[in-house]
Amino acid sequence: MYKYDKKLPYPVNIKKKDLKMAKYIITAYGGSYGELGAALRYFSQKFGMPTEEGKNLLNSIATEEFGHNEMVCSMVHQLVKDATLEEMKEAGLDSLYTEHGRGIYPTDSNGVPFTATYFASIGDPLADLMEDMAAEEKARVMYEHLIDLATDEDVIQPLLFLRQREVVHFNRFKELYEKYKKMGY
Amino acid sequence: MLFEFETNIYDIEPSKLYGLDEGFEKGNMFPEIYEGYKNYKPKHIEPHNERESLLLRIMMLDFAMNDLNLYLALHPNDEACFEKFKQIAKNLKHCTNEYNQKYQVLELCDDTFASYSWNSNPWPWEGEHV
Repeated sequence: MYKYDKKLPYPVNIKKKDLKMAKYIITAYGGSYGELGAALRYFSQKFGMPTEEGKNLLNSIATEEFGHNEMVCSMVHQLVKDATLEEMKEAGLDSLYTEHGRGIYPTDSNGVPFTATYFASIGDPLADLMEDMAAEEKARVMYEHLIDLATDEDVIQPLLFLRQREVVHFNRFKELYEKYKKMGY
Repeated sequence: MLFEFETNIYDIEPSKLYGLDEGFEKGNMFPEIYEGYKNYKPKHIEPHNERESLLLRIMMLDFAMNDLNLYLALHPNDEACFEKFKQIAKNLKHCTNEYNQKYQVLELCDDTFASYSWNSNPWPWEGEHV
């Protein structure tokens, strides 16, 4: 089961609104390399892991990713919450306003809604882990693109943190992959 | 260290790990797999008051516990790492208890004080509570 903890994995405290940045960052929630896909990917794949270490690793990383979703959504929320309709129009977010107001909805930065087809779960530990390693690498690059676009330290710091978590997860998945390969799975 | 707490979390001195502050700010407790990006440097997080300072410690301990767990999943026989894990988990419990009593509860099951508080405490996404 899951329990709620009233804190974020890393502080998000953005004082300056930035509508364009919000439009970009939402992809880290609902885009193809986003945290929602990551959380659901590992959550689903954990049932197919053959050993205790694999079940633990996938379950633990899935849980962590659910926390990252809350971080990303907090960033988007803080970036848009005080925006006027005029400002949203100017930033090209009028279509976003039409669909979601100032609410949070999982899409990529082009407004394409999240879909479960962004991840797979094929029930084979090596195949699943190979996908996980690729997913972490792509998410890392997505965060690098977001960091390139960001100008506010309050935005850059949480993005750096999230990027580094992708690096750590990639390394752990790789380790498990190599172990399973040796074990003959 | 700006504020003193009843719980000393600085008695943990991991050999091949970053310290709690540095690991948290970097997003990685393990120097051997840390990979920075361009010239970006993780910033030191300055708490504004005693409450934020304690909450930050809790976040750091929680982070370190999780990151060590990912390692321990694959290295369950690393006794030195498990010792560190246990120290961190114990300190996390102490700090959380202290925070629950002084400021607000972080988990519903701890809402056992004079009046119901789960509604009235700030939610983390509002950005005002670190």
